[in-house]
Amino acid sequence: MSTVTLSTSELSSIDNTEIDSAELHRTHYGIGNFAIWFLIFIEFTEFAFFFVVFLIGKAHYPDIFFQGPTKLNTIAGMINTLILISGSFFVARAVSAIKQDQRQETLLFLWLTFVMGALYCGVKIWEYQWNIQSGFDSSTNYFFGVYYYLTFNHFVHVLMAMSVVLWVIIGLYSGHYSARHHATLESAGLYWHMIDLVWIIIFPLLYVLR
Amino acid sequence: MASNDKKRITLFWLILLALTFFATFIAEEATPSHFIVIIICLTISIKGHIVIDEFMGLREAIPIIRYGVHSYFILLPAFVALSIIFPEFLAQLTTIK
Repeated sequence: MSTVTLSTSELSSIDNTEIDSAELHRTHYGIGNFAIWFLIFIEFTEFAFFFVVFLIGKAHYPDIFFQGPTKLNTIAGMINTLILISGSFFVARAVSAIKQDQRQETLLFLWLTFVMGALYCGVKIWEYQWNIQSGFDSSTNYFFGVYYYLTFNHFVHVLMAMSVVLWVIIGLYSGHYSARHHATLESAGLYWHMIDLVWIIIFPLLYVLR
Repeated sequence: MASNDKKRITLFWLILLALTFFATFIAEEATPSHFIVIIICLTISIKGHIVIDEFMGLREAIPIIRYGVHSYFILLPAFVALSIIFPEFLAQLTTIK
């Protein structure tokens, strides 16, 4: 078996090529890469189908869907909207901070984003318990069936977004991201924004519009 | 991030929070009507466009991605408004005879 020995300059050249390749992929899309945009558009499509199903149900059962939002806890929905919007704000600040190589500030904002996700989950679990105590579960009627299906699906996506944020926090502690190399962190931020954007539609659709 | 950019992004965060309070208040207090539906759908659209451009930073993205995401927040709020204002049409369209 033959072995190949590379000089330090050659190793350095390979390392730079890898970084350039990642950044080049990012540069091709302006922001993010093919994988994250494919995922985001798939998720948008999935939720768009849910919204259409909800609206078709609303058109066929107007009485049930008119009464439905009045039985939900609008304050809990509003608090979760404020939480997710704040999470988006924090993750945007984190991405901006890493572009300036400000790692401590990036960490702070990523942890704040994670806390926002945890708060969202806490409020959502409390809301589900409040619904059950009020006598409403997924079998109550078609409105509550769609409500639970849509919101629980979104809840799972928030858990995934929290995992992604935690992953980049660990990466940041390990020194993986810098002003020059932060494509993964940026993609994590895009995923977080996606769950926020979906909730921006869910909240008025389920809790507000009658 | 320049100081002006920090102020800008913070300002848009506050605008988003205010729009959320506004939409919730108007929906809770006002009598349901087509006008309220249009106002709330406009609020959804405005909030979406703010998040896309100011938080996601999609001004830097290639046009197909930027306009693709923006179109989501034009088409869906419009569909929501139309389906609530003309529910009979949607019901008729989705009834299997």
